[in-house]
Parts: sequence; structure tokens; C-alpha cells
Amino acid sequence: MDISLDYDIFNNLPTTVASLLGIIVSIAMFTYLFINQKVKLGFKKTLAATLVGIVVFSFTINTAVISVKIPVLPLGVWFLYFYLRGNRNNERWQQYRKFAWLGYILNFILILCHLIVIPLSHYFYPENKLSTYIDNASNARVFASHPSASPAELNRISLLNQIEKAREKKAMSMDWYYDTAIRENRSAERFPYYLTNTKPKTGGEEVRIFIERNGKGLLISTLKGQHYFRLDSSILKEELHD
Amino acid sequence: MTKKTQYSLICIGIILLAVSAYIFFIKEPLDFPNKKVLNKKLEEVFQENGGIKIKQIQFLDKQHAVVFFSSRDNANGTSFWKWDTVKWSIVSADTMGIPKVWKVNPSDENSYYVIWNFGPGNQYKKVDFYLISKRNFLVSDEMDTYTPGVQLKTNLPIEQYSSGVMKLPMNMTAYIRDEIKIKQMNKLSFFNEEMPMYQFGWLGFANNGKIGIFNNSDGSGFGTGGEEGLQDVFFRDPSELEGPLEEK
Repeated sequence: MDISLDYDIFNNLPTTVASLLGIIVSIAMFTYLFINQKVKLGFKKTLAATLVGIVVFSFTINTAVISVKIPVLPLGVWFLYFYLRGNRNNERWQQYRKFAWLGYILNFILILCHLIVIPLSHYFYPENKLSTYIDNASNARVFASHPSASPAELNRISLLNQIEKAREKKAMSMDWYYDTAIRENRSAERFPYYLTNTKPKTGGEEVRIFIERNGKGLLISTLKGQHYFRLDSSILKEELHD
Repeated sequence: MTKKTQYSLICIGIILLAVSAYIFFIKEPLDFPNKKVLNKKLEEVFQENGGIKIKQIQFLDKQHAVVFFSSRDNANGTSFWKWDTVKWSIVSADTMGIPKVWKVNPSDENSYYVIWNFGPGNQYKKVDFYLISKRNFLVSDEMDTYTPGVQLKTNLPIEQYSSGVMKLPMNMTAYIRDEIKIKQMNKLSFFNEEMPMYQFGWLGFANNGKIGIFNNSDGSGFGTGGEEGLQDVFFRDPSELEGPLEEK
């Protein structure tokens, strides 16, 4: 059993918008039902019936883009039915029925809101643009994350100049892995530098960024996946000692 | 009931409330136990009668402290103490002579400490401390991902301090911070608490040039089960490590 409200509610701006939209629509629908009751029931009791109605048995569909919890069995509604039925013509159940089913339907409303927001999210946070992941690099710095890297510093100007131009390319994960693994002493990591203290676009996803040995590739990991960007010129410069 | 007993009951109630409020809202720890008390507690833990000597007390912050000691058979011990709402209690203690990392506040990388105790007159010339993430790749219909190998190194200053605590160096905290931030994006799904993607490791170089663990005696350990945030630092076989190995 699962209360299917546990989307990553506030993790970034698009999902926050989706959740807020869902909440507003939910409140509106509840208010509409509450005002248009034939037999007046108390606010607390109807709200409770709605909340119990939200409880469902759901199963999760995972796709590359989104994982959706589809509500299947209306457990909360059933529970209310067995709890309230009994007296003449199931009168009490009849009174609360609408609110219980509203709770069940709210599950779908929330999913719908999240689906509506996906294209918006792609518009504001295009996944194939480097500027989505690196919006601000004023405090950024680079360090060697693997012993095979020679000391280097960030060439900030080079990075800033190329943020708009960078192109996303397919990651050759398996090739990269075996290129290094078959070498003696596994001495040449393909991504031996680490870029830190950059900021993603406001409200966007947090990331982890590795830099390719030649300084011309960025491997960006998010919670959901990975993006590989190629640059025309290196964003590294040899470390200068005073 | 007379007025007097009523008043005294009310007074007692107020005092009880105040005391519990003090305990739960003002969490300023009491003074750290003195050496005698520490001694007794450690003897209890290791079931020894005498022989435990408190060597040094190091505070990490107001509520966390590390107490170094030596046991009867001269093993070097480390104990981890935490202010536990009402009293200082022992989280874990061992005489293994192996470094540990204490994540005092797991969501704040600046509260991570590496703690070691090799004892005075140890055989180490140099001890390296590592943060390691294994190289990996994943190919699926939807996405290819590649996890670069990470190996960050620092020296534990054992020449000056045969036992001590040290915050993790800047590059390690930067790496850990990004991982914490990425995982916090998922904070509302309760079932996704993953283990960290990195490990800690260490490597000891003896005065005679050999690599290994050189302890005075076999150690033993004790844990309360509440050792969240205490992470073992594993000894690394040099063949597991990548890149050139500077022995000097």
C-alpha cells in the first residue's frame, strides 16, 4: 500500500509548480463539493473522508522520462465503505461517498499536473544545454580527482565562453571503462579532473561534474542520469605556482 | 484536598515541566566526565579491571568528543562520545588501531572527521588517507552512464600527532558535498536512502619501508549499535590503488 503523494515534491522548480497546481485544483474541487452538499456535513469529517480516500494501492511505471505511480485499488474508499455502511440504505456511506471518491480521483489529478509540467520543464531546463547545469561559475574551481592527472587550474574564461556553444554527445561508457581497465596499473582515468562550486540554473537539478583529461569534455551526473558535453577548446590550464 | 496541598501539587508540576523543558529544549551539554569516570566506563565496556589509561580528550564540537586511551596490553584505543539528551554516552570504542571517519552530522560535509590512534612510538613512517570511488559503467536501453574512478589522497600528520582528529581536506569535502546535494533532491522519497558511493581507505608505511598494519597488539571493539555516522576506514592493498605509488 502506498500513499501516492510521495513524488519528489519540492526538488526543483517544475515539480514544485506541478505540486502547487495539483494542490490548488484539489482544494478547488473539495470546496466545490463541500459547498454543493445536499445534506450538510461538517468540514472536518468531509476533509477526513477525502484524505482517507487518497489512500490507494498503486503500481509504478518506470520510463526514461518519468516514473509514474498509477493508482489501482481504492483502498481508502473501500475502508470508508465498510466503516460507514450498515444503517438504512447505507445512508451515511451515501453522504460521504463523493468525498471518498474525490480523494481517489485526486491521485490522478496530481499525476496529470506532473505530466502537464514536463514540457514546461524541458523548455526552462533543456537537458541538452550546458547552461542548464552550469549557470554560474564565479566560484568554480578544479582539482585532480585521480592520481594520473597532472595539476591544473580552471580556465574560467574559456569555460564561460563555451557554455552556450557546448554540444551534448553520446557517452561511450563501455569503451571508456575498458580503455582504462585494460591498461597496466589502470593509470589513465579518462575523466581525472573534478569541477566544483558551480551553480545550476535556479531551481534546476544539482550535479556532479568531471572533466576529461584533455579539458574538452564534461561528464555531468544528475540524480536521474548523465550528460556528456564536448567543447572546442580546453577549460584547463596548467597550474601556476607562485 | 486543602489549598496547601493543591499549591504544592501545582508547584511540583511546574518544576517537572521546567526540568523536562530544560532537558529537551536547552541541549547545552553538561561538563564532560572526568578521567576517573571515563576510566570506569571504559573498563566496564572492555571488562577489564584497571589497566586502562586515558591519554587524551579531543572535542569535535560541543556535543561530540573522542577519548584516546591505552589498554592493559598496551593496545591503542579510541572511544567515541556523544551528548545524548541528558548525559554523555559512549557510541563506540575499540582498540583496533585503525582510523575511522565520524560523520558527526551526515548532511554537513564539514563535520566529517578522520580519527586515528597509532600510539606513541609506533612503527609508521607515513600514513596515507584516501577517498575512493570505483570506476564503473552501466549500459541500458535508455541510458549509458560512466562513473569515473576517483582517488583522493592526504597524509595523516602522524609525525606530530600519533593520535588525533582531522577534518577532511577541501577536495574530499567538495566531492562529498556534491553527492549530498544530489541526494537531497530526492529527500521526500523515504525509501531511497542509499549508501555513499565512495569509501575511505588508508595505507601505512613502516619505518623499514614495508607496507601494512603494524599494531602493538590485537585489538577488540565495542559498539552500542547507535554508531550511525561512524564509518570504517579500510586498509587498502597497494594493488587496489591506482596511479604511481610514491613510497617516500
